[in-house]
Amino acid sequence: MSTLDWGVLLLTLGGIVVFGTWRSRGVHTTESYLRAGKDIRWWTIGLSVIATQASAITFLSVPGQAYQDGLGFVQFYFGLPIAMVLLSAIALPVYHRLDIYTAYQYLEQRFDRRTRQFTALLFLVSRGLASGLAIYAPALVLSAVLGWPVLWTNWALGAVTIVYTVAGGSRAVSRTQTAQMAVIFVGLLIAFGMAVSLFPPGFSFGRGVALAGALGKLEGVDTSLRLDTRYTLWSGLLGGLFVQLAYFGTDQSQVQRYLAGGPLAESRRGLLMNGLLKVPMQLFILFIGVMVFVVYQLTPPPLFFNRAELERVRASNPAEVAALESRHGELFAEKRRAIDGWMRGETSSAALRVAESRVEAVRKETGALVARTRPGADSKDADFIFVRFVLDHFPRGLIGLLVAVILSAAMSANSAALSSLGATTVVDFYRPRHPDASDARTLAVARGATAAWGLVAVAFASFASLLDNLIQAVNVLGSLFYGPMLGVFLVGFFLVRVGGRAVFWATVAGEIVVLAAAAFGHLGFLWYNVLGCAVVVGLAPLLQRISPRPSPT
Amino acid sequence: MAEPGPPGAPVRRSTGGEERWGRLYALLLGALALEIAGLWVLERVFR
Repeated sequence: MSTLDWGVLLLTLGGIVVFGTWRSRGVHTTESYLRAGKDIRWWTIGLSVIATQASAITFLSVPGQAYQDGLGFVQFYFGLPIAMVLLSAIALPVYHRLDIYTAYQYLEQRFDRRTRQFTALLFLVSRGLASGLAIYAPALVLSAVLGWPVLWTNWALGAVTIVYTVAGGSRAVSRTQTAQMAVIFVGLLIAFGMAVSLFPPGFSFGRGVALAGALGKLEGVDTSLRLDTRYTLWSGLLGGLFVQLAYFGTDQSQVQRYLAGGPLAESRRGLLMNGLLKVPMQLFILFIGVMVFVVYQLTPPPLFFNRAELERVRASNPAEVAALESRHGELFAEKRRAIDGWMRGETSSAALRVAESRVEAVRKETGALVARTRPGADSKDADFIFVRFVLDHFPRGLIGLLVAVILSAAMSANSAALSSLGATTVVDFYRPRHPDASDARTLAVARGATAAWGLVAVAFASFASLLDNLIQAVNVLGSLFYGPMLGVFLVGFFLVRVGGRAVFWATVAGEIVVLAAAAFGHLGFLWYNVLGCAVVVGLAPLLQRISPRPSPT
Repeated sequence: MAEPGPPGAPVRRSTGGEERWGRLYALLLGALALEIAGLWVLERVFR
């Protein structure tokens, strides 16, 4: 990156942190630290909820995913608007009526303290570990791009976030996230404009869309009933609904965001704003990936998008890399001729797809060579596609802005996670043991807990390189805990005869079943959510019947 | 708006304000249906 890029990057990130800290000055009570003073307006809540879900992984992985597989990933989000409606109608009124700080407080009022703290513990473990991975993923890509050791990028990403989150709490998180989302939206628009502007003269935007369609990249809705296809209309509407209900309804990093609104209506509007914007936003990010794909149909793409890894392989295997590069170049030229023929109406879409698949096969072969030459190295380069595109094609200054977008996303998601981890530690574990602690003391403990979780996340990020597949690890980790967590809340809302003892043991059983399935079974990880929830919802009424206790209702 | 009740009980709501929210929910789900339909058409137009 040039000096200008560094200037833009540091100015943007520094400006965001100063803005957030300034807007959250005067945080002197536990209420304002943990719940942002309950005076955040709905548009800030909406942006904050979107920013919390949109981590750096979103901006690194999603365009790359569209480059490879087209728009199909958007189906994963089809359940989200439905989840927003259900949460607004069912969970939000309960949370507001009970005037709670964390979702788990509801469980003590509905069941007992043991159920509350067990569920809160599941959250602390899953979110604490996920925060480490959410720091490590962008740190890894940045280290490859900037040439810094990954330990430095881990700490650079973690330290800034820890400082402003510890200082301003939930209020700083929400205020900062509005600025971060503004940078993200501007950055995305620029990325889209840049991709389209790279089409050669005479090749219009409409032609670009048509070319993407001819190569199968606009397939956004798969109506097939196949269970082995990860993203279909039905898995998105049903499975996606399940995941989003669990995430937005029971994960404190999200619950804390929308409980920051004073009246119920503000929280509801914030959630509905998320429901309205999320699908178009994801679609737009995917569409940027499709436009990047079109650019690389017209201009030669790199043989392998993770350049640092390719150079390491070249050092030990120069002849093989040179042969792959030469074949890649020839097949690209062949494909380019096919595209010219397709534009004149002489070549069919099917022939075009064959030419494209030949070029892709060489890229896959390169990945296999990476895996063979450097066992343990990342042989997939999809996460590097977007950042490589930015570095290779963007002018000076804009590169810094796009790196700022990725770092903003990392910081916004991590600050929300750290703030919610600190809040849960204090509200669900410290306060019940120290009910007489002064507000000043509780605030100090909340700040300490937030800082401690930040250090845990960075420390875990430092060991994350031991994991084989990072993105997979992030998804699997959440799915290990979300099922039983959603199950206990569903029992609370709908099975009013079930008491604390039954639901506690059902939740423990649900968690054991999920962990056993993960360790010994062959179930796809998205099904862990369904399995864990089903065990809790199915077992709790049975246990209640076998060993009835007076329920609190 | 929500009315007071025991912690575990399903939430009872008054009808006036909720009708307005119901219309907003319907609009949001309608927007989702339009987005899905739009994607379906886009794919077929440019296939």
